[in-house]
Amino acid sequence: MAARFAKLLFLFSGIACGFVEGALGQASSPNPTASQPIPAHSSFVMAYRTPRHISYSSPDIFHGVADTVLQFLTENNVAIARDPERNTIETAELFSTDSMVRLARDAGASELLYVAVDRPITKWIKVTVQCYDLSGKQLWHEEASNTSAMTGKVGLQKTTDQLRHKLQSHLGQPCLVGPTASVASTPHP
Amino acid sequence: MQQMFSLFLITILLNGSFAGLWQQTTTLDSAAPAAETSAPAIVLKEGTEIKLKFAQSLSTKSAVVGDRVEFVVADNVLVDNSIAIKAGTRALGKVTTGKESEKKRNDASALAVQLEYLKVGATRVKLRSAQTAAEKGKVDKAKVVAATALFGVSGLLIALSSKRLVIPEGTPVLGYVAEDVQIGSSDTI
Repeated sequence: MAARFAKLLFLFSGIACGFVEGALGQASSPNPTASQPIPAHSSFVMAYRTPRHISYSSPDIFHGVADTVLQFLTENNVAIARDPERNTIETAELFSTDSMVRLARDAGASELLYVAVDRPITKWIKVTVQCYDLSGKQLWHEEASNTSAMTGKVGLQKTTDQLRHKLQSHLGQPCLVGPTASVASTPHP
Repeated sequence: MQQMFSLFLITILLNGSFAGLWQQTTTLDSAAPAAETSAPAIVLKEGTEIKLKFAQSLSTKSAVVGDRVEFVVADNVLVDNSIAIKAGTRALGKVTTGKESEKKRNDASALAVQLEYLKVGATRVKLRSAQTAAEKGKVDKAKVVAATALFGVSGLLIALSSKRLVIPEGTPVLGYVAEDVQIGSSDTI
């Protein structure tokens, strides 16, 4: 009799515990549809390939440079805003600053980092990185290029190294700031 | 005693998952009436004309089949005197005729773009470029002529020329809602 009573007690306690656990689980589990909090500072990256680069270089070089910049941002914990439809935009089409800023705003970014990859006549490659705020004002820009290398491959390597070094000096400034860090004042060009 | 303990554990586990399931079901059930009681939605009818413009440039030099093309709504779209789609809303299309691969350095001989969709809040509104013959009688003759000149059946046939063709940003395009779609009142404005 006592054993049966104990069994029943266990069953009821099990049911009670189960419901409490289920309810708690429901309450504490994050809602997968809820939108992720947008960090205070995040950069929207757009890479542009010039017509000359299309004519005289390869798309792999262009995407490689874009990847290098994205890798640099990731390594330095810079928050990257992704476009919900296209992720990071790597294009050979020209966008106006207004359009790019609108895309950055739609992606929830606080700044726009524009990377242009060119192949001028006298250089193996030329990479221009420009930082804009959401009003379309250019905050800073950097250029990296190489003329002296014996081969295009070396020229590319030297250019990306130079670019990394130049971007390093802008860490903590707009476009290159972590998700929660405060923005250091930057001299406007 | 050991048997009773294991029975106790099994009971807890089974009921825990059942309770979670029960909670989930009740949550879904309670969410349904909330959606029903929201403000009346606007229905965008199939064939509704939407004035768009290119939010980027596009050229036979760089457009590759499958590339995404950015548009923005040029004018507010009104339904029953209320704004269903705000001017500035982003729309997307894709290149259907252009360069087969981005590795090709020469210009494409033809360029065609197909409108795909625009997003109003969380709702995707499917778009089409061409106007069906059945509707032609309803609209302004001048508009039909303009649309016929610009649009092909599968998209917007831009050019069939050996010269490089560039469509500048801001070029107007007419699009049409491809199927009836309900836009929640929270989606508007």
